[in-house]
Amino acid sequence: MIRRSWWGAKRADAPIVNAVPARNAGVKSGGALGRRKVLERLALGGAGALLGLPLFESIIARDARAADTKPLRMLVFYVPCGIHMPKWTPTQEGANYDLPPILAPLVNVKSKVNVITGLANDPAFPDGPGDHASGTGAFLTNAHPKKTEGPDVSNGISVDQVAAAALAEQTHIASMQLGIDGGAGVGDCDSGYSCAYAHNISWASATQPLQKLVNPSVVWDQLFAGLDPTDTAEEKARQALYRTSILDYVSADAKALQTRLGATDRAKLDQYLTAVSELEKKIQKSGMGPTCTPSPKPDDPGTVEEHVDLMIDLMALAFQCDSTRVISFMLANAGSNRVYDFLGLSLGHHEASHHMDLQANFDILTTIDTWEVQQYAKLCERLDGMMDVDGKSVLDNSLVYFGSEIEDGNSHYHRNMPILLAGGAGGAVTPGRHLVYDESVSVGQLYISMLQALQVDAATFGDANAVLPNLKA
Amino acid sequence: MLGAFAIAGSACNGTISDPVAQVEVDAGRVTLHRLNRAEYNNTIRDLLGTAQTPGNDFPADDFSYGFDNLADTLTLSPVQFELYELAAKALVDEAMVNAIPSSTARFEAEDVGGSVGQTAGSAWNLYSNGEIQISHDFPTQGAYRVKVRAWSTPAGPDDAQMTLRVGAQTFTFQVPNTSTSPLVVEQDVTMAEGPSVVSVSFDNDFYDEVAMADRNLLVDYIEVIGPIGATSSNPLRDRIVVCDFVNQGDPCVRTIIEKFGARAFRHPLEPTDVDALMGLVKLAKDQGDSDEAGLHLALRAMLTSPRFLFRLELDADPTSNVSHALDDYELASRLSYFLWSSMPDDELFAAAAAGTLHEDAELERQVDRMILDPKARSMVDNFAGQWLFTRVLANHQADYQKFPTYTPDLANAMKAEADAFFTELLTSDTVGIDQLLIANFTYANDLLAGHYGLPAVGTSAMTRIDTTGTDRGGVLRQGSLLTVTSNPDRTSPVKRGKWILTNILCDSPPDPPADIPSVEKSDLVGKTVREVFEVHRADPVCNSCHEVMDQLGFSLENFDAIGGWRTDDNGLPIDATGKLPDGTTFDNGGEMAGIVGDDPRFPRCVVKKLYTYGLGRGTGKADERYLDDLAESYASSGLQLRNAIKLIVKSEPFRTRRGEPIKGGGK
Repeated sequence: MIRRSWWGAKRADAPIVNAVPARNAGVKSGGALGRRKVLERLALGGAGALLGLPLFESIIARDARAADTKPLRMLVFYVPCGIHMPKWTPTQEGANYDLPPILAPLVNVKSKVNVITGLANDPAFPDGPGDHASGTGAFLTNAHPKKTEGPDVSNGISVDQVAAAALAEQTHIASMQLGIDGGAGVGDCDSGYSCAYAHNISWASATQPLQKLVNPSVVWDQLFAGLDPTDTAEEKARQALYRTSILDYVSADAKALQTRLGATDRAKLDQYLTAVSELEKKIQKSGMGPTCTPSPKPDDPGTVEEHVDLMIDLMALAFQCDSTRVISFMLANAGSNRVYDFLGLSLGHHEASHHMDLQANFDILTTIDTWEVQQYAKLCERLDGMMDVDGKSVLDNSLVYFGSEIEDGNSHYHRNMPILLAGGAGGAVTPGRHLVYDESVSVGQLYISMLQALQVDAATFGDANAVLPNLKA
Repeated sequence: MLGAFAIAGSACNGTISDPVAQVEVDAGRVTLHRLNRAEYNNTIRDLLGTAQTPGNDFPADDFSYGFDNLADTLTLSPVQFELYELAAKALVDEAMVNAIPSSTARFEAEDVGGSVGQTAGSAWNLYSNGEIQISHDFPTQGAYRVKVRAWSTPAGPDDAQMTLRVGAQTFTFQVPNTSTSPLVVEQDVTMAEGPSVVSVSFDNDFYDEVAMADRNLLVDYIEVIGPIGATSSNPLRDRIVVCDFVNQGDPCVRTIIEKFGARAFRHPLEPTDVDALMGLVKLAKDQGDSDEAGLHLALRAMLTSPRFLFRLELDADPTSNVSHALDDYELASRLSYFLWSSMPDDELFAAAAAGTLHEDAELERQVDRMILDPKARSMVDNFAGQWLFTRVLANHQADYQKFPTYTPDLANAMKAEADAFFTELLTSDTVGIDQLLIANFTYANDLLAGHYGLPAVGTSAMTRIDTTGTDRGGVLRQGSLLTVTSNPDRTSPVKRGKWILTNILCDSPPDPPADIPSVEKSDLVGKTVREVFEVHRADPVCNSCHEVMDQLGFSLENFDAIGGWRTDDNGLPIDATGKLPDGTTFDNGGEMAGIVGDDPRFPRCVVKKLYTYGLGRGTGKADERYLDDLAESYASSGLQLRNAIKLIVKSEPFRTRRGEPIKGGGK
């Protein structure tokens, strides 16, 4: 059966695989208002999606030639303040691993998730205090963030950005950086470390953190704005010409100004010119825009839970529409002290993570960590419920990485990091196992292996120069 | 120097000042300054008159030296630029629109009912002469279209006749159509603004009982569509479109671009700048588009330009180390972004055009004017918001089990108190900054007064109250600061002490050393917060800093984690006494505030904070000399905040800039 898509291209309908269970439909534990709002959205949007995604559609190949390839993707899911490891680490190694309380939400996707135990991120150890900022800065870079509060931040390129640089040509958005918490604050960020380390996990280079978007409607704009489906091809071409012409004008002006400015000012205008040229590329690639039917633009979320649900929807949508192949997501900023009132908790997360071996704090951390894994599981199930162009699930062709900036919140340890890796990168990774490594093995080795699994050249990364053994059985 | 003492006269004090004489005189330079989110929102508000606030959705601006308006720290990422480009289009679309939106109002006949007849399925059956009548409120004078769908049951010699009345206008139609192919009439009309009657009548009923012939008219609906092609005045558009470009053509378009550009770029345009923008107008026309479309492009381009997004200050010789005076337009922007976080207004532009703005008397006059302007609210939101930490109160989460009275209303009242208090200090020509810590007045409503244990003020509006003889007075004992320097569930004397050192004395303690032992479970049993910290501070390395920091913080222990008064902690009585390394003692927070307030570093610190924020750059060694001079003048000026502002805007670093020598070329 052939029908006309929103985008005007013809595409084949595909059978539904691995339908997402209804219990993941963003059910709220929050106040009555939040619940009603969500239920209203569900009524509008159908099962499982606040945004009303056409959930069970398949990914559409861009053209016949692309149809027989498998699009490889990377998604990073960051959580703050470490994990309460005694309730996380499975006792069994290998394929028949057990699910301790914090991992229990993985039950439906266990066969597609690797639990990885033991890896170290030694460059994350800070100079003096500042483990949260330093650990978050180093989270995807496996590099040692320079201790500074000024503009002279220095880190390494992050693994998602190495992947993005290699995969950028495939889609009209090279990569997306998303999160829940904005960066507003006062005073200092973390013991002499810049907020750039605490608020961003994606680094395009040692000196360029990539700021994240936290407002769902703005993320929607990034995916779909300027792409009016009712426009004729001629009108689209004209709008693209106008936008490009404006960019040509402003970049010519910026270049002319360069000669009348000092070196530091010119560096600022260089950032501007880079940004202009990135947008020009995106406009030129607008023909490679969404291959799917966009959902309506989301409203502002009312609660944290609703906010997270919307972001999960948007991440699934971005992959479903093949708008990007690389996403990083921060469930909260480094060292977050969010109070999880909707989980019945009243103590801040960071404060509880300095648990002082008190059972009450262990219980709080177990509750928060379980909720975090639940969100990750929800996302994995969504990706597993979408069929890719090669007939496998989107999750099967992706790597969905879960981790935190530290191991334990009290000790601020940067070894034995809590790590989950879902998906198979098209068969390059064998999921569904608990893999245990020695504490001296660097997370950089995992990053090298992840890049290679995504068919990105990488021989060294961070402090590592070897692959992680046993990722493929 | 009255009351001088060494609060931090220990190993903790990391500040080592080089002899000023060794530092070359250098008024410095401010890096090309991108508008931050607040500045962007305010600038488009003042430039366009819009209520849009796209800046709220831009990525958060990084901050350093305590503020998020420092040029060196403000970076520009690709995603941020993408949002600028989107915002430019949305802003121009809004500013230039002058069409009145058209709408369709449909009235189902069976819902309205007729003077005769009955419902027949989805229609109303006029089975004898009669009418269906509605009243429609026409939103504006102009063209409308009225649409009626009807059919008849034919009988007798004639077709059914239907008359449509729209106000005083009547239109008659024959309706031979039956239900299988109903008649849809569309009648264009011109209407005045306001309610008018619209009706459909059946005029020629026919009934022959013997022949069983019955002519009826069935009406499905009446629709009123419009206004069609109507325009209205748009005050945003009227500010931009200052001449009739439809009739006057390019010369008028040029004028519009020149005038708008001078405000958007905050500096008059060169003719070549206008030429480049006219190129975009021509491009649109070459595509077969109108002048209007071309003008939209030029406006979008200006709102995407580096001259709009950055505060541009040019150096005649970008590599020269010699200071030169800013031109008066650049100075106007420095003033307006300092005091308003926004672009200059007409009066500042006029002073710049007249070339008088840089004069001392004129600068002082402008400061006096500007701080009384409602736009000076930005000093409260952005300067005080970050200096006094009030900006994060809205995001503070208190432990709702321990502090059930911490509601959004209470948090709002605390913020309003701090804002009103600072506003008085900013605008007063009598109250000095010395009152910041020891004022005998504050602002409260009934909710906040109740929270503080003070008598009700008798209103839910913030009211100025006298706090003489109470435990309150000054920011250190206001709910806002006490709350945001606490953890959700308990006070943090360290955070409170650190805030005082950093923001009142500009004497930030160094970062703590590595390998700090964490608090153990056994540390907590049967102790107050103060006792836990004292145990934890037994290490002499820690003590060198915490000796001062914690003593200051402990004196505020009578104020709980949401700023309420308390006399015990963990069931044990509060000890709010303190002793500083030099032997100075105090019995409570009020006495501590008085001692800190007498420290000569306090007014100098206020100057330094304003200087950093006002210039939008961090300070270095070369600035110490200027800060010393400014602090000395300020101390003898009566300490009104506006005096510090005037001194800063008249200072050399504020009025001049220099280029940057090429690296390796020596200084």
